[in-house]
Amino acid sequence: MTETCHSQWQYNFAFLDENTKRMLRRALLKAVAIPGYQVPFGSREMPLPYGWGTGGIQLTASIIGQDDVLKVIDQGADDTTNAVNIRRFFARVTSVATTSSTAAASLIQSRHRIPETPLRPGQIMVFQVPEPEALRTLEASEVETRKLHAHQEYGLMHVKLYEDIARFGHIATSYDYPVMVNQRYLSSPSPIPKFDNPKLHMSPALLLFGAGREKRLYAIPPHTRVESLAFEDHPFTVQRWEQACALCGSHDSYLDEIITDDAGARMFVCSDTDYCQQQQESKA
Amino acid sequence: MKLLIDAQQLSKTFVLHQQDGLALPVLADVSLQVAAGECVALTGPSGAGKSTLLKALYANYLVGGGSIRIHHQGSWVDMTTARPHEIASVRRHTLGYVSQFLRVIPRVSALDIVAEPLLEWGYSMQEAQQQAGAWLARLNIGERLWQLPPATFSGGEQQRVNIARGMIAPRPILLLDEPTASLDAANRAVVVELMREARQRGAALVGIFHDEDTRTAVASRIFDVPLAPALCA
Amino acid sequence: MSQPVLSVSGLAKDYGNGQGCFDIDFELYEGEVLCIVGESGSGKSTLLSTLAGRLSADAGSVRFRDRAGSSHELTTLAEAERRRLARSEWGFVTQHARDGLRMNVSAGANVSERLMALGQRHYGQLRETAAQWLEKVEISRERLDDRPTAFSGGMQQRLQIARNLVTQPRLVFMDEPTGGLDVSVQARFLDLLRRLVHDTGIAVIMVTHDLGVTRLLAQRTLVMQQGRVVEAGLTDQILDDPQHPYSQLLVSSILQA
Repeated sequence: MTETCHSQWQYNFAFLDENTKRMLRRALLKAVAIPGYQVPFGSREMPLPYGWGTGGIQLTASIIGQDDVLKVIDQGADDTTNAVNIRRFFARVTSVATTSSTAAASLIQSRHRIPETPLRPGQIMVFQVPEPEALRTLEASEVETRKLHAHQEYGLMHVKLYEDIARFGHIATSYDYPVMVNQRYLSSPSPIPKFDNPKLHMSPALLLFGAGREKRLYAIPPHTRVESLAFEDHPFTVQRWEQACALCGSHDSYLDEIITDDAGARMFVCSDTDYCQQQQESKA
Repeated sequence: MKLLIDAQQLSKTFVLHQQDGLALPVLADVSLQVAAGECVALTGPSGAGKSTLLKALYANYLVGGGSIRIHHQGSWVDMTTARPHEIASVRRHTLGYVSQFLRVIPRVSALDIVAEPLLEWGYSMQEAQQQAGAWLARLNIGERLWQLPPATFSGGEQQRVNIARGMIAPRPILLLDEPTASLDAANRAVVVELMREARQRGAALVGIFHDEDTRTAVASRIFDVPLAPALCA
Repeated sequence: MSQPVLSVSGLAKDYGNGQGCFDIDFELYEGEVLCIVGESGSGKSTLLSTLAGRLSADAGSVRFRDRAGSSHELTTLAEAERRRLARSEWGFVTQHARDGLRMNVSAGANVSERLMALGQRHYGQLRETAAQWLEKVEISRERLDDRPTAFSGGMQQRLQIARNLVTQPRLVFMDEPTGGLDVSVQARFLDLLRRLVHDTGIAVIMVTHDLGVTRLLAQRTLVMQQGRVVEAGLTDQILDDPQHPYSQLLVSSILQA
């Protein structure tokens, strides 16, 4: 690895030292072996504050290689502050190629979205996770939540969904919607919209999740069953829009609502900028 | 003659720990046998231990020595050594106790209080309540009171509710602690009649009857409870 | 004669400084209510927690017979199995509702939680079952979506009962369930409990220091002092003819009030 050292920066390849990367990789192997299980790891200080994706960055840093092509998105967009900063960071500390194309990327770090373009075998997605524990809002004690996972006691999660229906008439949880991974571990998919939940199921790509502040990582290996929780009479559904994307005309992508002036005029556009671009180009 | 109660050499001494362990002997070497169809009236001066004997037979008081065998569902159970669960079963199916005082259960109607023992015997709610109504009617408790909790009833009414509750299940043995104490003549006659009917169906009765007329009317035998020799005098 | 639901022998929990509970023996049958009475610090709650497996026993045996008739030794039971029993075959009603309820979710969710834990996934049925249980504990079904924080103390305790009994457990542990209630509210709670025990045949072990409660509900009583059972037997016998100096003191102190 030493040949990749960038002496002018005085940093190791991908910022982290090799021992830290080894620790992370070991934890990742365990996470892949036990899909959905949260593995503790020794989170390092990163040149970003907690909450800005330090968990995702550490995961990416531990697995990125020189041949990788990196894509970083934030809320689906490649050109937002968080995405731009993280992409630039890795370009500087690894010199790997970066891209905004989902199809061209071998490694995708994401905050809050899964790209619309279907992932393919061999790709790895890294998710930034603020709260890895799906049960946390209901059970404050880590000791207790770990027991609940150990004994697969997940009735509590349905308490939350029950409350949603009781209060709003439907399951109002619209992002970070809890899933059962491999019919064993209840997991948080990170704050992706529930629109993206079906993409987790039997995904051909490896999905890795890192929470820097909470010092936990977990994984959904390729072709793993991922089930969104629901009630028999209130099945899981995803968001649908009456509008099409104002830029590309797509009817089946996840749309963001954008206020365009002070009078409250609004437009709906794809949250996935790469996908929107492709759609526009294919029409042009 | 089918024996239902066989109590041998009972002794009972109350030890009052709060009064420096003061010992009050009440029963000493008392033996009593009662057969089906008999009605034994316990007699003796006040403090002689009539009530203590009755409560000992019910296992409400613990005896210091002796045995109390009760014929229960085809076999003998010694109440002095039986486990609580067995005693509960004996009380439910075999051994009834009628005291003067109703222990009021908040919010439960008179009808349900009387019906409860039959429910424990496995009667349906409808049948239990029907019989309970018949018993209350016979004991002159007006129908308008049936659905009320007896907490607000007069002493005599409460006593009659209690008699109905104590006697409604046809248990083979009935222990009666002054069942007619504060009843008027008419109601006393009803209770006397009920006790006679119990004897006729083969029940063994043991009772304390202060009222001599009642005693003569129902008792087949008098048992004079012997005074315990004062052990600590 | 039926088999006991719970058989306890030689049970001890030793905190090491003479505190705890020692040499506990008793059997409990279906439909029976057993009250554990005694002063504060006498080991009542320790005993209850040890029986319920919330504390590990230091000696002795607790055998529990489940609905299917199989017997479990609770002192050596694996935790997974213990938790399974705790959510299907047992209930636990605490003195303070906030320890036994989820105060931040609705009454309906509180009652449904155990059903959901057992795998029921039909919202409509869960809701209907919860509404029926609210009515059984004399809470209007209108209150289904209200949080327990909006309930009175007596209602909260009744909600705890519903939350526990909804899975039709065999055995319910109660720790001073009437402790914080007014006398009139208490009477309602006790009557309700009496009826539910009668109708469902559950066995109840209740820690209380109120002998009135004991007289009304319990066929059986254990009197505890300094971690030991000083007297055990039928409730009426213990209250009418207490043998042990401490039982006599307890009975004379409370009944004269």
